[in-house]
Amino acid sequence: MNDLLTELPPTLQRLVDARLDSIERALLSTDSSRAERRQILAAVEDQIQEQLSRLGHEPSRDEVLQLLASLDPPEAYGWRTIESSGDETTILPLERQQPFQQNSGIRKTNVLAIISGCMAVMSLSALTTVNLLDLISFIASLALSLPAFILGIVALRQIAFDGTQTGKPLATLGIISLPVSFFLMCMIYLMLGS
Amino acid sequence: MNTWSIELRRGVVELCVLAVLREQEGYGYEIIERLRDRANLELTESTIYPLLARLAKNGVLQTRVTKSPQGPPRQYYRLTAEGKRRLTQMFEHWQLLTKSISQLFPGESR
Repeated sequence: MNDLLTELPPTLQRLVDARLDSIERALLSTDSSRAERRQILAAVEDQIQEQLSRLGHEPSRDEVLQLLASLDPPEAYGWRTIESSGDETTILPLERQQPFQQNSGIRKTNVLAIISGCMAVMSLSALTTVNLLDLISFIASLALSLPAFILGIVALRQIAFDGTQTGKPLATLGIISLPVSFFLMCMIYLMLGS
Repeated sequence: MNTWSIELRRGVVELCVLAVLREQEGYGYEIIERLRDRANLELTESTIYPLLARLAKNGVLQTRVTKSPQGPPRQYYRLTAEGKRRLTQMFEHWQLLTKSISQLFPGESR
């Protein structure tokens, strides 16, 4: 090891100290104990000193700045929960994002299921207005039950993916509306047409 | 590197740290270098130092402070008996896991 660097010039040492202060502030936002913080800061300072000593000469200001830039930013220390009881290092922002993303997906699924169910009801209702071989009612019923069928399938797949039950009855109604409409049209045609 | 890969590495970082301390004690930066040189693992100080501090607090690692050639006193870490037990258990879990996953890719293991 190089003894040249037992002590850095005060101006350069201030740069290192400023970085250590920033890391300490970041660590204060975690649940680390004072002893842990001291240990972490000592390790970072030791690393800085060792890397500078490997230069083999007294470091310039630029070299110190370059080294500090190559290290993890102080914020990287603030994100972790260093809690003892947990075995895993936890990244808080990810945990906070997941429920939002999941809820957003469920809301989207619900909307699909509701639209599908409404179209199914309207499709079947259209058939109740049939007056003899009313072509318009048949076309309206088909035009509604077909997208209801497609949306119902999409919603059911999404529900299965989300692992929830919300919207499942409506999506199912949307799916069965197509075969039911078709069946009813055939029956009406046969009954009224004969 | 994708998020999955980063998360995977984070999950096994404790196993890796304990593994490099299995035969020989080491200080913070030395441990980072061992991980890089022996296992090609680019784990940085903001991951390793808080982990070392936590493992020491939990009694998995034992510390020894010595005078450093430069800078503050240097803290060396080594496995305690509890740490050795933990490493053995973690490695067994790791082997089971890798074996199970390998079975999902028959004929593709190298």
